[in-house]
Amino acid sequence: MTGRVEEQAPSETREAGAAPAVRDPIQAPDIATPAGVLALQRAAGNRAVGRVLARRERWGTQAEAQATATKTRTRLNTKLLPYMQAHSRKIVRNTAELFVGASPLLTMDATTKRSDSQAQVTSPTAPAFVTPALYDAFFRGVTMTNVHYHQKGMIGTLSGTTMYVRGHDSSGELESLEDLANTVVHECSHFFVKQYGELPQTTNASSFDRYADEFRAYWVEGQYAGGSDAEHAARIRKHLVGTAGDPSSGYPRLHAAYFAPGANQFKAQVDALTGPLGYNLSNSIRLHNLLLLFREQAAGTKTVDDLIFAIARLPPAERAEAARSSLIQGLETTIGGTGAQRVRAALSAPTSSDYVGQINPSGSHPINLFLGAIIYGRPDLLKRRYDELPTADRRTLMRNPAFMNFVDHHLLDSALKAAVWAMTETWRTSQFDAMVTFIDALRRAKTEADAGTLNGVPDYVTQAIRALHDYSRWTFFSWSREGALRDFVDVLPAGVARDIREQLRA
Amino acid sequence: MEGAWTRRAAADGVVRVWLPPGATLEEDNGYASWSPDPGLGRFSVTSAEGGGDGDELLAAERDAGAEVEVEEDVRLERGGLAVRRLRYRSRRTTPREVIDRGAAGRMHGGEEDVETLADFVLIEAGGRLIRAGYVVEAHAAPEVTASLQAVSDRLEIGDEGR
Repeated sequence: MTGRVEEQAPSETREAGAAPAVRDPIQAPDIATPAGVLALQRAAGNRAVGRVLARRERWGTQAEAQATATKTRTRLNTKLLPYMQAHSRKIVRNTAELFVGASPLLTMDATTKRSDSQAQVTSPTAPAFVTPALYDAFFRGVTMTNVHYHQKGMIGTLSGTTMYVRGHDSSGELESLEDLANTVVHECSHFFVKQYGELPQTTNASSFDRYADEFRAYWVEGQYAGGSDAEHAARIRKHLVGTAGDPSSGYPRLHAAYFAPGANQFKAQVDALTGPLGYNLSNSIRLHNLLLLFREQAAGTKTVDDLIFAIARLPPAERAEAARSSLIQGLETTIGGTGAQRVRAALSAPTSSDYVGQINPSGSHPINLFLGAIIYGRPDLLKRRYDELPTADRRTLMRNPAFMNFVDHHLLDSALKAAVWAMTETWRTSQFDAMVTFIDALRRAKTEADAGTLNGVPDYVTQAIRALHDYSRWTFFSWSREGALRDFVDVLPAGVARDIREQLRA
Repeated sequence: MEGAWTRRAAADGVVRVWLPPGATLEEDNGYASWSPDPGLGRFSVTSAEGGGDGDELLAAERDAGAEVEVEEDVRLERGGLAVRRLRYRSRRTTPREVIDRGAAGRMHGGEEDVETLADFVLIEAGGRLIRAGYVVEAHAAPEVTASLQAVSDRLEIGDEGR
């Protein structure tokens, strides 16, 4: 500032040439206040006013504001959540699940403009960022005992794990349940992005991470869906960055970054993004809980078994999403070793209905318990749960390809797997033990071979083979070819291995 | 910048604001303000009857989620009035918000890290609390902050300049 300070005639009245009060040109008349009603009366007449007021929320007095808040809260709980729970789109139903149950992940409540908003935003003790041109004062809950400042036109906000919903626009007109549901879906996407930290720069409104965060939220919300993925992405991009010829289009900072002159990496990244990024694109409480389980497992408060159980319970589409997630893959790597292999195998189990629907088609509880025992992989539990299966359930599992797939993906120990096949094909837990004994004998033979003391098939191996039922031998040859047969027979000297195979075939 | 600065009264004349050439003090329901760049900061004068003081202002900042660092807190007398000067930094993450922009559609925003510097004088006069001063974003260009500081430096309170 280089200008000379030169006093003109002091004015004790407000500046005559001052610009009119700054108003947000996009806001509809505020008819929740008496002044707004008068303006509408002048413009449209009393009958029109009556019609409009009958369907609009009001907050001109504290009593009106609190009554509106109570109505909003009731509508959220009795209309919106049931609407979302019965919605045709899975992601909307998933999102509703975040808000229900004994200990919901998120809660929802009303937020309403305060009747004294104007006095609040012009108060000398209001936070410095608050200006009457840009902000209104709201309260949360149903009593006007708190103050929260938000931009004009605010219809919803997320604070911690509570979503505050206004339920109507700035003119008091109710939002449709569909619009509200879409907004909730959108905001929950942001909630999850923040939880997972996959777009760490999203707090910078000019960053690609912020663009990707918004892009994802609009993608899952579905407002711009239709046509190809490329068309879907293009519509979202246009909404977010606007158009070159209209500086007021799009999100201001994204627009500025996208149309910035010169070499523009942001624009290149934006143009390249044709699908949503990150984990849990379906707003699923199950996928969220799975991630929490991974973190708890890393902290030592949960086990790999807990993880496998959670994975096994996932709907196939969500299991597939978890399997693709780089976030989950990173957590698997952290587990390392056999645990990581078990997790990957469980995640990569087939997702087709032939598999999922046929493992336990009748929904038998004893079968579910037996499947759980397979995940745990403890011999005593496996035999006990199998003993508890009624005949019909044993028949269901016998030579059941879906069950075999389940075992393949959840029981990585080839010896245990061979023992399970022996048990389920003979319906005898004693054959489980016989197979374990046989494989122990093969291990002993391998030790002797390594010591150079093995001369032919030892008697203890022959005796173990004799204790195996024909069906057990058959499963060993047929289903353990890439498992126990390879791991325990093929590792022996060739002549010994050949002789053992002969004995098994006999 | 050529031309003369102009003086404008605010808060019923309790304070007078000197503005750079061409600048105007905009009035919005008792909130008078001027800005060289509205996106980055503004100088303002606002007042209210009754209680409240600088502590209440700082509490409101903290209630809005800000971490507040007070750089200067001085009580003095200017122009015959009790004045408290508060200069503080405020760091907060803006709340997530869905904004209905009418025909322009909705905008989902917030969750931005913002740091601002505020420099106010709080004046108690005739049962009223008057706040005058500026707030500016920490990343604003130095000339924006300098413009606001220049207006703040020339502020006249009570009998000052008379």
